[in-house]
Amino acid sequence: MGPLSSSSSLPTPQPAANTSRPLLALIGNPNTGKTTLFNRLTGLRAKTANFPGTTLERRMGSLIAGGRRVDVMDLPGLYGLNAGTLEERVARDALLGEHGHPKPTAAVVVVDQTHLARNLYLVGQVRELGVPVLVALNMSDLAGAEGLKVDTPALEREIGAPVVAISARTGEGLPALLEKLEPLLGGAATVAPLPAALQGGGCSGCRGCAHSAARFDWAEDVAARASEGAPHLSAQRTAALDRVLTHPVAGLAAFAFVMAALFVTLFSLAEIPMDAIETAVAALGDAVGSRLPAGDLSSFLVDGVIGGVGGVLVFLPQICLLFFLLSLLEDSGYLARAAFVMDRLMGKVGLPGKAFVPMLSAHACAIPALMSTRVIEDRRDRLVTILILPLLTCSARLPVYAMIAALLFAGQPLLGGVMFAGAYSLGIVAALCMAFLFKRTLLKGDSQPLVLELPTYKMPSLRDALLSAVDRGVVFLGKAGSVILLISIGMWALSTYPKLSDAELLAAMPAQAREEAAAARALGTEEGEARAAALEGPTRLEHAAAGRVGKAIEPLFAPLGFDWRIDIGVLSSFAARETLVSTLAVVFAVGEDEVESQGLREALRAQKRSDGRPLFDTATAASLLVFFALAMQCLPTQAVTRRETGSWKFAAFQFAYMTALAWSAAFVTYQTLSRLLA
Amino acid sequence: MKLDFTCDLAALPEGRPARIEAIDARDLDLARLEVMGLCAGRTVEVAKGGDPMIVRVLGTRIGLAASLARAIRVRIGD
Repeated sequence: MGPLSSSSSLPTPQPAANTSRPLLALIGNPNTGKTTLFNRLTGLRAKTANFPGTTLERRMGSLIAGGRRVDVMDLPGLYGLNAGTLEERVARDALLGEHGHPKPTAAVVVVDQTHLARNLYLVGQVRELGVPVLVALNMSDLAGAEGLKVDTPALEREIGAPVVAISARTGEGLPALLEKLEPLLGGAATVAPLPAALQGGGCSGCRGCAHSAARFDWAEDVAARASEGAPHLSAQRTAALDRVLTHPVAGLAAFAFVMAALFVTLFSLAEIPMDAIETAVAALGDAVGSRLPAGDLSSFLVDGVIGGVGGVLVFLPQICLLFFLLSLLEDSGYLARAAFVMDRLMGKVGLPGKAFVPMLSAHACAIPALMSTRVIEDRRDRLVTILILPLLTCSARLPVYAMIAALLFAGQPLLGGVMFAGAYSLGIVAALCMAFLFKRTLLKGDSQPLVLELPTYKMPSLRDALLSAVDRGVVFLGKAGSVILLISIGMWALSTYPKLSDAELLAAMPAQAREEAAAARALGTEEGEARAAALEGPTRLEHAAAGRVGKAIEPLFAPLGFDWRIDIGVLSSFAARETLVSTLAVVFAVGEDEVESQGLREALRAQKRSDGRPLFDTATAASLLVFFALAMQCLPTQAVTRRETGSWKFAAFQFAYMTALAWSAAFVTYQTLSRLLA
Repeated sequence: MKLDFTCDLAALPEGRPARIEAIDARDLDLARLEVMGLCAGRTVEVAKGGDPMIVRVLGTRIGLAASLARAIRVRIGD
């Protein structure tokens, strides 16, 4: 919470809806500390929403200046307003109040005073738009440490707008900033005439024109006149670090080390809250289940609602942790170097270097990875990355792989390890091949050659990283969470209804199971009741919608070696792939407690086909492995793909191509192996 | 002897400032280069060669693909 934002007891504002309130736009180059300033000014009340009609996000918050509440809009970090990119166009519209954007009362341009000339270019462009401007001269602390002097009054004269030196990091200068801001927010501010050097342009929509050069000349002149010294210390440190971190060999080694550390941290730390969430959800389910009479309501609440909420919440730790770590890496300046060293390698499949970090994160979970593709500027490159991310081996595939490893290689840990490595490699190779293919067909286009600022290295801000983690978590819960919950309830309904009456159930059960269930129930113990319920499970599921569809689609999956019972597993894991294990446990009447032990493996091994051959022979198990390595089988991912691309079209295409790929690869696997091993 | 000749940015020796004369690239790339300050009239310097390379312009380090650097004509002189 910033020192300036704690004075309010008003409810969270609904920005943009309230037109009587002044609106302040925050704009600045990337790496200027704009986000830090925004967080300082607005505290924890900020909200993320999309710019109208786009998938581009903006942060909205509010602050109090001179006793008046002011809405604050954080625009994307930009170098200019030349409208070459979507961000530039949207920022320009938002500053001018065009195309449905509310017109801002004033704009604060955040400037890194250690890179004054570069930042003044944007200041010049914002001045040309005619919006009342205040320049926040950030990084005072850094400039002071470097002995850099900026003559603020001279700068005010040159720009024709108030200038305040601040340090968003320490909070220094913020009261002065609010004080100077006040007159601009009254709505009656007079905008000083444009500096002579900037006049006669008015063409910020064209490219490569002479006016742009004039603007840069102005920026360099003003910087030279109003400032003294240069940030030698940090420049030397940055150059020295870059000699190692961008080196073709040492840089790659450093990158591998940083990414391995990121991945290990993500995997190991997220595990703890994820286990806690799963335990808590299970305990809540048990508590509710034991207080309610057994029946539809109890089943709906426990398996549908509580299970569904748990299925949403379990993604949160990985999302928050990934964005926390990524924010630290980005803030330190390292992320730009990572993109720099990976650029040439990724270029071979037509993707930019920035696509690598999402691809690595996807090995934990595709959802945070999809959300982190926003760093990729080019829309086509970003779409291709989004399309291929779910092919990488996420942690939800591990229970399935573990089950198959137990089937194929029980007691042979080495072979099991080889199988795991093979499955990971299959995901990576498939993802790279599909990226290569998409870049040459559907989303054709040369990969954009690298042009990337390599910012000065600095200590990252923990506070900004925490806020970024919270923000991503809230966005996920709000936009994707509701869809995921609805889908979970839908899947529960499909595997529960239509229900058999007790008489129908008894009639439909195989004779042996019926007798065993009756005997178990006659014991009158809790274990006996559970055993009876497990024995009834397969018949109940077989007659529910999921089971009926499973039988109906048997011919479709027969060439992969699956029978209708495996098909039920495939169908029910359509929403979440790890569900395969629990569904197969129901299908083969394995009690809840036996899944963890050898029970499931023994039950699966004992299953026979109608012709008496074992169901899970090597060819079928391998085919199942390949299918689950490549198939979509994750509706939460689909919901996030829709959110990130702005359309169900891409989610549908992603599902279609991955399912087709999975089916074909599993078909080849089964047909080849069953012939070889026959 | 006064030094005055042009070459492309990829061929510029490290640490020698030069002035950008002209850029021959697609519109989209031109716009991306321009907002970073890589446009006619600016003074640029190679901080580290290679592909991608690091150049300095307006006091900032920029990572730049060599293919784009080859499209930028610079003049060494003055």
